[in-house]
Amino acid sequence: MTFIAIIDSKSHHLMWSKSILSLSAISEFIKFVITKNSFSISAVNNSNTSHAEIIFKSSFFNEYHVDFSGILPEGYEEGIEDIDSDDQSSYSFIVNSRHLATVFRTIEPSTLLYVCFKINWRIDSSISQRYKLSIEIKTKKLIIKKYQTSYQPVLRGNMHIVQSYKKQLYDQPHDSFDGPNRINHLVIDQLIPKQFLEMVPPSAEDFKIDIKNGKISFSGYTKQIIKDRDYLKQPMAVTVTISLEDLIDSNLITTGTDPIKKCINFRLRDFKNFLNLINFFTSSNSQKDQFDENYMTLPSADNFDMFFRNAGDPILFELQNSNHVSIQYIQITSDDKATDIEAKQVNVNITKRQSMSLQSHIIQRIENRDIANSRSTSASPMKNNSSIRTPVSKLPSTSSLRHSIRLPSGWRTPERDLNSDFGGNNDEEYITYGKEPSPLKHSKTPLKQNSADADTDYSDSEDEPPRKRSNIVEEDGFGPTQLGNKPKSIF
Amino acid sequence: MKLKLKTKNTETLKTTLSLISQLRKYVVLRFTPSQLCVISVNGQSPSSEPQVWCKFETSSLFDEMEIQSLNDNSILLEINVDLLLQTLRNFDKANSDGLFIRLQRKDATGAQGTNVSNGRTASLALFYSNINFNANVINHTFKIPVKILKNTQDMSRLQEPGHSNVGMIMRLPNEFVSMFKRLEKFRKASFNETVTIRASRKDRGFLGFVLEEEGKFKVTISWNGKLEVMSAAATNTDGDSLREAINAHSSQVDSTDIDEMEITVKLKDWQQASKIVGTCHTVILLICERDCVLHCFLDDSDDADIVYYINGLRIRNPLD
Repeated sequence: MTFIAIIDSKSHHLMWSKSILSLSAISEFIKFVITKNSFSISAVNNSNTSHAEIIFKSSFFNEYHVDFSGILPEGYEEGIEDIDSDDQSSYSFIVNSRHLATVFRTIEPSTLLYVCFKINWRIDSSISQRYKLSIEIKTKKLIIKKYQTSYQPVLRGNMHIVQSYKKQLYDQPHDSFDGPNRINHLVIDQLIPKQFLEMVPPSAEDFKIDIKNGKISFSGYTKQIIKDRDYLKQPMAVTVTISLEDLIDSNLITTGTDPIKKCINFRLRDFKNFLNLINFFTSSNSQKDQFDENYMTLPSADNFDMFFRNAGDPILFELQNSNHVSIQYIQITSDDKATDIEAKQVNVNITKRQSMSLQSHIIQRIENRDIANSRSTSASPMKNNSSIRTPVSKLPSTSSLRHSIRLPSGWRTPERDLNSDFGGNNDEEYITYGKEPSPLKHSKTPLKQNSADADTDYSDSEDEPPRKRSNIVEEDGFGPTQLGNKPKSIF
Repeated sequence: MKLKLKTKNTETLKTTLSLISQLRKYVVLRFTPSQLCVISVNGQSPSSEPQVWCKFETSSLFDEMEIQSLNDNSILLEINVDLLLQTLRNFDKANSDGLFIRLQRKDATGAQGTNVSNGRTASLALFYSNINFNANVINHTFKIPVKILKNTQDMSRLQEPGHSNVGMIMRLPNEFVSMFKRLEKFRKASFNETVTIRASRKDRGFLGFVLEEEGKFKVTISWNGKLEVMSAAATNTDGDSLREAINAHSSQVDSTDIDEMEITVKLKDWQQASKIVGTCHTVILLICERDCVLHCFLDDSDDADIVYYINGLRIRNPLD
């Protein structure tokens, strides 16, 4: 295995599954970026107007192993091997968010023992194992669920907005309030927007942040449509206003005479999404809060940051109060008046605009490399359907229970990690599948001690004629019904 | 046109609105300096469906008010009842010291300064401020789009129905809501669309509901307890005199009174009054020649008065 990450804390399970659900509400695809010390998931919506990224530091996981040696070139980007650098080596890919949401929606975090993510990205891995994200979940009832989904390697596509806003904020003089590109920053108790959203009717579509006269107001409304002097569409507009001095922190309070005036509009939907998500990160900071409703309502330092510039520029919401996780939601904003928007956009520097825009994922074409004959690899019957299948779960009987914990050396159970030496076994892939009663298995590799060897026997054949493959989804996949037939065809 | 109100307690208004919010999506608010009337009628054909008229003394609802218009100082607004109710609930939860209500001609969306003064659209702004537990003062503003009703067409469909020859007046006990629950079972179970209400002043008063399908079944559900029957001739049917009549327990039988009455109404229309009857402190049923009316008082005070009008389907002459 070249990538393994295990989550086995209850509150982290909840954070993880809520993160997945939140991202899946934004886009059909979730991008994963794996570096040596962080694991980030992100999503961009179809119109490239909202972007959400959740960065899990390696400390979020109970176990986190990344080994880039001998990695497949697609999706891998070499960087500086510096812990603090933003430009570390990374491996990036996208996964269908619906599949992930299906897996994590139904999961009750309190019943889990661990969730384990694994990828084999080695260039010498068998074709059937490539471009697959494996998820193994063990529940308290000792059921092990294994999911596998194909992914598509993508370019990492760095997001510049976060860094550039923060850098600009840091660089700009603290006493200048009138620069056209001034970064405005504020820190707010999440309770205020949360209570605000509870009052906004669900049909409201737009959201406005309005700063004037030393006050900041949040409005949820829908643009009105009037026909024959009657409203066709205009639900209630809800506004909450607080004084800028009541914010936890901000750089909006002017020392001069002119108070800052700003009005920024954007869609309410993803802001809602962000607030719903951070709710789980703040209230689950201490596990006690999670179960005691009285604690939930007590004030706590549940603040998040907002960075914004002008209407038309992106606004950034960031929550970073958990040590392991950082949540960044970016939303392209607009002005109130449709007529002004066009005029404004003309003036905007093109290059600036590009760096401030959101980009969708760039899928990396998988090169026409020598690809092993997948038929031979089917010696270990792979569950490589392109979509996540229904859980391959079974309640282990007393005899197989031992197996399921002991045998899957690739799927390391956290409790065994400390005292087990996985030196050679780390190369073993999917050995758990070998347990399935297959006559072939027994005859061919009875012990399956070194499946890497088994793979080389059949799959690592560089001489084989290259096979064109444009889309990994089309990769030869064996459904469950094929498993019995495939091995027979070889012998 | 000017409408400015301030109130501390919205309990009466909130309860009343919650009772009628299920009937229709929109209600009409009629503000006059002395009275607020919340009217729920069918827009197209007011007489074919039940109407509800809720009347409040403005002085008991609002602490401060300013109601002005060219039309005899009365203002008529059509408003989404759920949004209004939701806002009142938010205010209730917020633990604030005062709710301000104002009629604004301004557009409720973000664009500033776009006054739509020519149309009939405006918004009713409700605002209050409270202090959250981080000691921040938070101002809340809710702008609910409303339609101002002015012309005669709007007015004509907003005529409070009168009574057609009141035949019988009965005070329904508070437990009467169980009758609605019983009838509800029949509404679900069969094709009952109509119910005949039969009332008599004989013995201790009789009130029965007849569900009938020709040739198949006939069910009569009647109230066994004592019913307080009042003299129709002696009592005026407006809210105040009804209230007096209840307090006086005037149940002397006048010789001119009709002994028995019968009216057929849609079961659905009758059942919709269930929540009102279940909540109100005092409920009086008036059976008239062509319609029947539930006149309800929310509580002991004179604050709120809910009148539910149901039109009869067939007119039958009183039996003997």
